[in-house]
Amino acid sequence: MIFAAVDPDDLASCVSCGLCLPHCPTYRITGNDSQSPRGRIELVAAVRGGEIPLDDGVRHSLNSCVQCMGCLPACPSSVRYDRIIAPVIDELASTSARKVMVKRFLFRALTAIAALAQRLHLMPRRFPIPPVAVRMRRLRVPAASKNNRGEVILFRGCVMDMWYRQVHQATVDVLSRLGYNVRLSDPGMCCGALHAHAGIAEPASKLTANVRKCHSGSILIVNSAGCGAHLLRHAEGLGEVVDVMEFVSRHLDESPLDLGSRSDDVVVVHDACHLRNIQGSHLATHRVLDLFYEVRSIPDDGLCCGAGGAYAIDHAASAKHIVDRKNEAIQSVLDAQVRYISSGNPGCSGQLQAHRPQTWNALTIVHPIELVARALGSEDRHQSHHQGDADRS
Amino acid sequence: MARRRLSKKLEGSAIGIARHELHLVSRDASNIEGNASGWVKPANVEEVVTILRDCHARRIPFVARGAGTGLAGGAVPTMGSIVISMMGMNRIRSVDADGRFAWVEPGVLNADLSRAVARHGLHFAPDPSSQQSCTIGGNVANNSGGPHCLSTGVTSAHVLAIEAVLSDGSVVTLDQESSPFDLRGAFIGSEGMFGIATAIKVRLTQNAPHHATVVVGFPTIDGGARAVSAIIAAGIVPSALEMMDAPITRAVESYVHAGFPLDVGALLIIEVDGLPHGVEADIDSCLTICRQHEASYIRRAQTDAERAIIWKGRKTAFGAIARIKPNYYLHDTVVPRRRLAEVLGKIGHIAAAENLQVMNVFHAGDGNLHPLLLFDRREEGIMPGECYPESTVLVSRSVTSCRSCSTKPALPRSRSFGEPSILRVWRIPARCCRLGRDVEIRSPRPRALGCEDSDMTRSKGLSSGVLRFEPDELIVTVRAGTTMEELASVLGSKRQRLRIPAIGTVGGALATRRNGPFPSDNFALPNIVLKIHAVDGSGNAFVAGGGTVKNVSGFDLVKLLVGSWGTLATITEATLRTEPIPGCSRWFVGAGDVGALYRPALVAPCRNGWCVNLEGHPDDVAQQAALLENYDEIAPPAALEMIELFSIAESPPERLEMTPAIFDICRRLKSEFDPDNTLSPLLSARWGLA
Ligand SMILES: Cc1cc2nc3c(=O)[nH]c(=O)nc-3n(C[C@H](O)[C@H](O)[C@H](O)COP(=O)(O)OP(=O)(O)OC[C@H]3O[C@@H](n4cnc5c(N)ncnc54)[C@H](O)[C@@H]3O)c2cc1C
Ligand code: SF4
Ligand code: SF4
Repeated sequence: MIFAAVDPDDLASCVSCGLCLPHCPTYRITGNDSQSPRGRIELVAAVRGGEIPLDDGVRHSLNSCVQCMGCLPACPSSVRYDRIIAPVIDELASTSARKVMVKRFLFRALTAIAALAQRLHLMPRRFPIPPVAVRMRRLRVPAASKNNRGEVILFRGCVMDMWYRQVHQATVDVLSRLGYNVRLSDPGMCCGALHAHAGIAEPASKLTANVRKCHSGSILIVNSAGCGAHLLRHAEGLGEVVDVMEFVSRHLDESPLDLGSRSDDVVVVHDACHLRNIQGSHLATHRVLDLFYEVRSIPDDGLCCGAGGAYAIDHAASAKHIVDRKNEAIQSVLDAQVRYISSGNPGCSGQLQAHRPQTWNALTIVHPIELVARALGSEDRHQSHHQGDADRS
Repeated sequence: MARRRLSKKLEGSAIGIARHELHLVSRDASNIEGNASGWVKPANVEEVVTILRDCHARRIPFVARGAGTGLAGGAVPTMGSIVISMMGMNRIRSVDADGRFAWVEPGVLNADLSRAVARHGLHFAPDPSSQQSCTIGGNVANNSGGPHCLSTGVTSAHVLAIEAVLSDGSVVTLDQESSPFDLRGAFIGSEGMFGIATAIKVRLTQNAPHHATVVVGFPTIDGGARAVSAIIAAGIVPSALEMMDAPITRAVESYVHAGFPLDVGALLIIEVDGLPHGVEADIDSCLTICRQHEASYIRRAQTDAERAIIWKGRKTAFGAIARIKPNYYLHDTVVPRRRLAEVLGKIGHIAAAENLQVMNVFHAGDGNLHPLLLFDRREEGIMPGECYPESTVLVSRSVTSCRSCSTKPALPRSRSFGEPSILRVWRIPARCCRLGRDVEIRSPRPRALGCEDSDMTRSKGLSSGVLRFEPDELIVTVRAGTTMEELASVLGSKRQRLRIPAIGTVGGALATRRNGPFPSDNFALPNIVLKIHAVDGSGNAFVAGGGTVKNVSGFDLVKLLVGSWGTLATITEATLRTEPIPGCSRWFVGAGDVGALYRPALVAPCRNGWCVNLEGHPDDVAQQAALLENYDEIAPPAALEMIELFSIAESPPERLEMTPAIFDICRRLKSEFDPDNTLSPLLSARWGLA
């Protein structure tokens, strides 16, 4: 049976009400039922039940899902779309060997070759990966102290560590200021989220198992929403996996920190799908930033930006279409006071950065923890790599 | 073959025939499955015209599709129809914030429209629970309403004009001016059978400055239902009165975590909005009444976020059902408010006897019930056919116990429950599109009556008198010959009214759609007309509409008759929705700007500039009056005199510039209703319809 791994009860729990439709980025740009959560669920059910064949049309519908999980919190019946789509993507990927090869290559490219290519200016400008800092700084971590409130581990990951080291620094700074001893995870340790997203199950689970082995029982602070969501899903054995903003939000009250004065700057907060739809912790970012800045939400119900793991590379045209829509929504809340767009996920930051309109030159795309570090006056003011367009040419 | 030729013509939007796409467009949110033979997503009017012309020439049936959230299978293609998805036409064409209207394409989502105009302090009032997903086109086709239509009315009160493509490909604009009959009104609720809407001019409503949203728990559903009746009977019309029974509250709570109490028998959500003093006074009265009816739990939303989550809970109720069973069968029916408790009791009783699981979540303020029957389609013997008859029994048995009700057909073949007259699906207007839809059109069973006087302008000759005034239901049934003055005095005795000038007879007011200077909103003609008894040109008596506070789907004959100047039928009796008279009413005359006022009762041109009527709580009225610069207060009679001079046009339109397509429809309507041209022959001749 095709899609035998999908739980029939999960499929049956969809009442076809359509309340998930507007929360799906691919439906939003096409208006097609075959590009909607309701449609995809019905297709899986129909193929599984032998009503329709698994043809290219079905494959395309299912593969073009960004896996943003926007449909998950939108569904009043609590249909577990995540449990439905994951085995489907695995099965589709495993029946298409060529695709897997291409994707494996892509991932290697993502982590190493791309970095080099970028430095050599070989990377297309619209590629959704930010430029790598020419001089990568070593992370400075204050010495542990017995008086502190405990130890946390900063999960460095692969993409974050390579491209967003300044975010790591800001994370270390803020956590230290909150009174925690910070330890770093091993460099290069990858959680396997991207692989899982692309349906390459085997390396994904190996990588995840490795993280579990190294850090069982610890509090793992993650500042990449994508990694956090993936680790959370496979959290058994890990002490606690928590997004950095959620952690700060929880512990800010207990700390003797002087929050200083509010800034006049306005921050537009982009809620990463992995925070909003999977971890359900996006409000923490709003709560924390609200202490220091005027915070604006994007008036599109948290629709995905089209980054979705390797989606922006795999389905470039749709991803572009989706992010254009996102940009329009952002544009509607912009004015002269807005200085930052904050995003808690490297994938989203890269996607927004690659497709930012020319008119946004004065805006900086930052991780919210960088804004907190800045507001707390952390001595180390690392410049974000996204300072306007200047360094992108 | 036909399909291939079609696709050639439509380069931009070729007919899709991919197996999986057809599988998906063959279903919507109902339990009904169709069999589409193709689907197409036009991007503009021209493409719609091409498609319909081709379909017409080849007699290929077609069905328009919005978001496919309809619960009655309206968008499901039968007989191998072609599905025309309107999702490719989703632009807001223009917004006039001062004039408070917008032109939108049919694929715009209801909630997106409100979001887009929020910065002007406006919104689109109809708020079906599916509002985040459903389209304006679907709203128009289904005449959708939502929790807040208790005070603001259903879609037909908020659509000013429709640009539509008819089944032969002709493009028409339907509004109240372009034809002698309100074809706009007839289009709304016609479920895609009149034509395909390609642009809609919607009325935008000012956002209320103040809200009170309260969740009230009752030990029994009966107590809640009685409280609802008592609130309306006390002359308060909240903006929403929604009820959920205990099982559905539990299902919803586990999804939204709104803090709904789980130990109550029924939950009532009361929302009052408007100006602060009036809101506070009304909510206080509502809560006093609830306490008198043994409310066991009262919680008022303190923040906007809290209010939003309460509404999210209510609006996702249908979806949350799957937490209990994966499929549901929905009935949608309106019963008189005061019989809510009784009907609900009966439904529960029958369901128990038939061993069916039933849940209730409904618009209590309108008496609009939605009993949901839960089932699992995978269970042996449930599908098809076995569940339906039982559920049909359920509602027909429970609602026929009511004197009157209107039913939105929830099955593809419309089934009528109770008397045939409750179905509002009558004659097919001139061109019925959707050739393939096997909707059964019920025509009235005419009872021949001697028709002595068929000229509406002489309707005084008809018998007069108020037949039934039900102040608790806000409904009055009156003979057409009754004078407006007499009616006003009867209503006034219970502090109720109609906002129609007290001139002439009721029949005359209806036939000429005489709103006078009053704004054409939910409290104006034709929106206050619920049911009409009339006699057509051949002497057949018929009934249109239903005698409950809300009527929605079906060809709206009432709209066609109101404002037709007696050329289609002679109205003999009408049931009208009344309105409580507000606590305070003051009149002002002046010349300044009135844009800052919140929904004033009336702003009319007069010889001194503008005549403004402010109504509501005395303190609110005083505050609003302070916003009027260079205005003088005057006595109501003087004010009315001033405006009437200017705005009550008593004569019928002289010659109408009708487009050929509209003219054709009107002529066919005329010959359908009055083949021998015995009704208002002069006017009919003047309009070229005779
Ligand atoms: C959870 C849930 C809650 C709901 N709550 C309510 C409620 O409170 N009140 C209510 O009234 N309804 C409600 N509905 C029913 C439904 O959502 C509405 O009637 C809605 O207006 C349908 O819009 P749609 O875009 O989904 O239309 P569709 O389902 O796609 O189509 C509905 C009908 O409209 C026709 N149509 C669509 N577009 C056009 C067009 N451009 N021109 C002509 N005809 C067209 C179709 O042919 C069809 O007959 C609910 C549904 C769900 C699933
Ligand atoms: S997934 Fe959930 S929201 Fe979407 S159609 Fe199914 S039940 Fe409705
Ligand atoms: S995961 Fe995202 S893209 Fe996929 S169906 Fe759900 S909302 Fe759509």
